[in-house]
Amino acid sequence: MSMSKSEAAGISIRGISKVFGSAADQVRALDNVSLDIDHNEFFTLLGPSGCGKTTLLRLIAGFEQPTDGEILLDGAEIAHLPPFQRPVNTVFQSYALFPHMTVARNIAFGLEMQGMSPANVKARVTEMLGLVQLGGLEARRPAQLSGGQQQRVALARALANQPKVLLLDEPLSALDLKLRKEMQIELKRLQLESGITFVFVTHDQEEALTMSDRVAVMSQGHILQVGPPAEIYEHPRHRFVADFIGEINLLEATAAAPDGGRVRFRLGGAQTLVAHAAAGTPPAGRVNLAIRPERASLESPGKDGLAGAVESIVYIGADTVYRVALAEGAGLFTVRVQNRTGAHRAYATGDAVAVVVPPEAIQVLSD
Amino acid sequence: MRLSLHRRDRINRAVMIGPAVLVIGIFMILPLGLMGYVSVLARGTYGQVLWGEFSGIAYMNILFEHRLDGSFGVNLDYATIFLRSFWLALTTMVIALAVGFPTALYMSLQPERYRNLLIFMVTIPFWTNLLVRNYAWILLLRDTGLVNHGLQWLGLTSEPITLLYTDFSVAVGLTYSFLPFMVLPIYASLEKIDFRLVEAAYDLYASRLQALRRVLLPLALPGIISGSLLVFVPCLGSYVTPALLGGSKSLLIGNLIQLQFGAARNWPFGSALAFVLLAIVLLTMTVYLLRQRRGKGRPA
Repeated sequence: MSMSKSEAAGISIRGISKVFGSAADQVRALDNVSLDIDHNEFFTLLGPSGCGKTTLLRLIAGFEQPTDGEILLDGAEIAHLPPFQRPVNTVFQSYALFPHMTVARNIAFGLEMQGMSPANVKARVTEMLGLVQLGGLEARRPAQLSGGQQQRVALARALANQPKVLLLDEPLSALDLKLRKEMQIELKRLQLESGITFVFVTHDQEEALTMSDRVAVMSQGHILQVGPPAEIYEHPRHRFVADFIGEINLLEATAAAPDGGRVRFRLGGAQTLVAHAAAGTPPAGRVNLAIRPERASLESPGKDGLAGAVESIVYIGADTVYRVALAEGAGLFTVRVQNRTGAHRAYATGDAVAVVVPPEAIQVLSD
Repeated sequence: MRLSLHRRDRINRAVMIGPAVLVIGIFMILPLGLMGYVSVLARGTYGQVLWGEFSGIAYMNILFEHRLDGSFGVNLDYATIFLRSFWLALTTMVIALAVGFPTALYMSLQPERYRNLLIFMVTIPFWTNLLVRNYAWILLLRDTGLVNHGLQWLGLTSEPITLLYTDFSVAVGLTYSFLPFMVLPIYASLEKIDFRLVEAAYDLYASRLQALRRVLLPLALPGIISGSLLVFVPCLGSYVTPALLGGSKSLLIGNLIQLQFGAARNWPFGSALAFVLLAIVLLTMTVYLLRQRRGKGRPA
C-alpha cells in the first residue's frame, strides 16, 4: 500500500535533512523528513514559525539544497537542480512582484523566459487575468494595486507556467480576515480547476483545515502527523498536534490493562474515564489523553462522568464554553456546548456537574 | 493672525534656505559669472586681461586660428583635445562600471554586519592625498616599477613595456581614483532591492544572467546612472591624474585650461574653454534626462 502510493506520488521527499550555519553554530531546520504528496492534491504544511515548513518548501522550489536526502518529482530526482530547471512555481509570502514591470509583464515573465512566442504569451496572459479576475488591470504597476490584487497577480504569474506543483508560502498572511476567507475559497477553486498539485505553507490551523486534502503538522524540524483535516483534528497522535490545532483538554492518566475491549484510565483520586481499547492504545502506564471540548457534555452530578464544579462560563454566540474544575485536583476541563436553546443556561458558576465523555471521544496520545 | 502665520512661515523658509543660497551664490554663481565675464574680454599684448574691452576672440580661437598673413583658418587641435578627454572619461566610466557593479553586488550580498566594514574599506583610498596616490601609481607603472618587474619575472616579456605616460596609465589612474564614486551609489540602490525578487526570477525560469538583466539591472539603474555621472563628469575635467600619469605628450581639457591660466597667460581663452566644457556637459545631461523621462512612460 505505502509502496504503490509512493510511486504515484507527485512529490516524494525521502530522508531530507537541512542544516544551516557553521559547524560550531548549527541549526537543524529539518531532521530526516519523509513525505509523499499525491498528484492534484491540496497539501498543507502546518506548524508554528521555525518548525521547518518554509525550509521544506524552499527545498522543493530549489532555493536551498538539502544537507541530506532526496526529493523526487514524478520519480525523478530534483533536489540538486537549480530553481529554473524545475517544473515548480512559487507564490511568495510577500508576493515578490517585479516592481518595475506592469501586471501583464509580471505574468508574462516566466513564459518569456521559457521562450514562448509573443502571440502565445499574450493569449496566456489574457487567459490568466481572466482566471484571477483582474481583466483591465494589465497596464498597472504592482504598487498601484491593493494587497488582494497583488496576491492574484502573484498567483496568475505562477499558474501561467502550468507548473506540475505550485508552492504557496503563507500567501494569505498579509490580507485582512474577510479577504483571506475569500481567497481561501478562490485558492481551492483554482486548485480544482487547474488540477495542479498545491503545496501550501501556513501557521493558521483554520486555513489548513478548510482548504487541504491532507495536512502535515510540523514541529522542530519533524513531521509529527500527516492526514486529512478531520483525522488530524479528531485523532491527534501527539500532544503537540492536539494542542496546536483547535482547543483540546489534555489530561494525564494511568491506564489499566485492557479488559474486554475497554480500557479504564485513572485521572487521580477516584476519577476514571473509559475508552475503547483501540489498536494503538499503549499498554498500562502513564499516558496523555486528549478530549475536544465539543465532544464532552455536562450532566447533573452523580451521572457516570468526571465530577467537578463550574468555574467560569463564556458565552461566544453559537456556543457557550464552560470551564469545570475537576474534583480531587484532576485539573481544569473545558466543555463547549452548542446554544440550542438560545440564552438559556442549564448551569451556573459554582454548580456541581458531571463531565460525560463518550468512549470514542477519548484520544490516547503517543507522547 | 493668519497673515502673521504666513509671515512666520516665510521667515522660517528664508532662514532655512538662506545659508544654501549664500554658499551657492558666493562659491558658484559669483565665480562662474566672473569667468563668463572674463571669457568675453579681449587680451592685451602682454597677456593681461583688458577689463571692459569686449571681444569674442576667445571663443573663436577654440576652432579657428588667426594666421600670420591675417587670414582665419580652421584649427582642430583644441577640438581633438576635447574629443580625447571625452573618450578617456567615457572609457574610465565604462571600466569603473564594469568593475564597480560586481563589487557593489558582492557587497550587497554579504551579511549585514560585514557590509559597513566593506563600505568603510571602499572609502580607504580617500584617506590619502590624491597626489600621493598618483605618485604611487608612477612607482607601480614605470619601466622599473613593480608591474614590469612582475611581468619580466613571470617571463611574459623580456623588455619593460611602456605603461607610464600613456592613455592607459591615465585611464588606470582615473578609474582607481573615481571607482568609489561608482561603487557607492550602485551599492545604495542594490541594497534596497528585495532579493526575493531574484529568487522569484529564478523560480520563473530565468537563468542567472537573465535574472541580472531583467530584474537586478533595471532596479539598480538609478544607482548606475548617478554612479556613471559621478565618474564621467569629474573625469572630464580632471587635472592632477593626467598631468602626473599622462606626461607631457597628451593634453586633456583640464590641463589645457590650467595652461591658459598659467604659462600661456590667456585668461579669456581659458575661461572660454571652461564655459564650452560646462555647456557640453549640461547639454549631454539634459538630453539624457529628457530621454529618461520619456522612457519612463512606456511599459518596462
